Amino acid sequence: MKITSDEFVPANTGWGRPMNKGQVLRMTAKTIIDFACINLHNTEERFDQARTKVYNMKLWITTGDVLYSKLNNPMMTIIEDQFSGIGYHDLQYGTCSGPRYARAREEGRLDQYHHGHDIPIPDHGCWENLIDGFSAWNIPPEYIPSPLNVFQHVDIDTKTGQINHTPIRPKDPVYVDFRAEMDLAVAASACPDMAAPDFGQSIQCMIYEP
Amino acid sequence: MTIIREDIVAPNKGWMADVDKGQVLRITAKSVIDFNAFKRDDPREYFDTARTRIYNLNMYPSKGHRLFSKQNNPMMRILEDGFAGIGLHDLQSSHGCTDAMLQILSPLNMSVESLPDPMGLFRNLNISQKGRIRPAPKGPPEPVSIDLEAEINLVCALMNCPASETSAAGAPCTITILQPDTGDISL
Repeated sequence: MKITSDEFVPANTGWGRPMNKGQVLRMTAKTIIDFACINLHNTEERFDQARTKVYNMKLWITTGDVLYSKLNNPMMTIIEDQFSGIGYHDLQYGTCSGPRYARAREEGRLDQYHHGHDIPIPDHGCWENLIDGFSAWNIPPEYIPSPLNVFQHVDIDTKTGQINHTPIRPKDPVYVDFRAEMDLAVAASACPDMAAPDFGQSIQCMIYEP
Repeated sequence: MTIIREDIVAPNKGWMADVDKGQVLRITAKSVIDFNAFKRDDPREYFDTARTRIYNLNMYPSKGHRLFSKQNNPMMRILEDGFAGIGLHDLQSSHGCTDAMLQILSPLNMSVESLPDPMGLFRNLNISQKGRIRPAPKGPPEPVSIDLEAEINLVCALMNCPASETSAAGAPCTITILQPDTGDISL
């Protein structure tokens, strides 16, 4: 493999890069990564959670599954998933953010983000980090897609619909490989991940030619 | 409550209207209704399925839940849900009738890329504990109502959307906007 870029992304910051069709993005972490992609040549064509779930006919995607755009085009394929067997990536959550943490605190619901009420909350989160990650492409905040939440294992009771966060994460960093099916701009947020045992950690984003 | 406006919407047709803060939007149907809402003062603030799921910590919208915007603000509250016990509303799917919905939303200048995902009222997906999603249309034998109270001034839009694989058979639906009377206990 020929590595074209390989970067560490500190906790609670964003990262973004263009990548070409056929290249592979490897994201390595032990805490949550909020991830999204857009068509490099039409930045209004964005990753879409709903299309992705309906095309794959499943709530949770893994190796062999495809990330779809709102315009029904395949954007990326998961070609390797080391989280498989540990947990599932999430397609229910939007992004955490400064306003979201503030509202949770105001409503006394911080325990829905982490275990305990007395932990300082961040002033920004994945929404702001993805805005940063996509800054070269000027995506308005309201059109930052709801992401694929990599390594965010969520408990879902599909009978009642109840959603609960969990602290289930990889014990040591693992990776997921995504092959680009079109030329893309990709962005990732190293989530502050208040539910992880040691909170959000730095992540690694590598692009390579297979 | 006083009826401000009432419309019958035929299958494959859409509807859009202003709903003021405090008013109640009643949707009475037996087929799938794809529903969107926008802040009237700034339609770039829109009802968002992910924010709504996580604010309520539930995949299926039901009585007592609130609808949230992408910008993390409350937009509507579900006051009553006649579909409870019959089936589950959907917050996983995209629009089935995108072109028709864009037509309805043309005053808002919505592009296909920016059309928010809807709340699929009366859609009823079968989602297994392993996460497999299958359409399982389950229209009520007679039309039932869901009541949504506006928490801000809104533009609401919907499609009566009887796609054969994902909806019960097409049937007209009734859309009512109600104004609570002075003296009604504020909810």
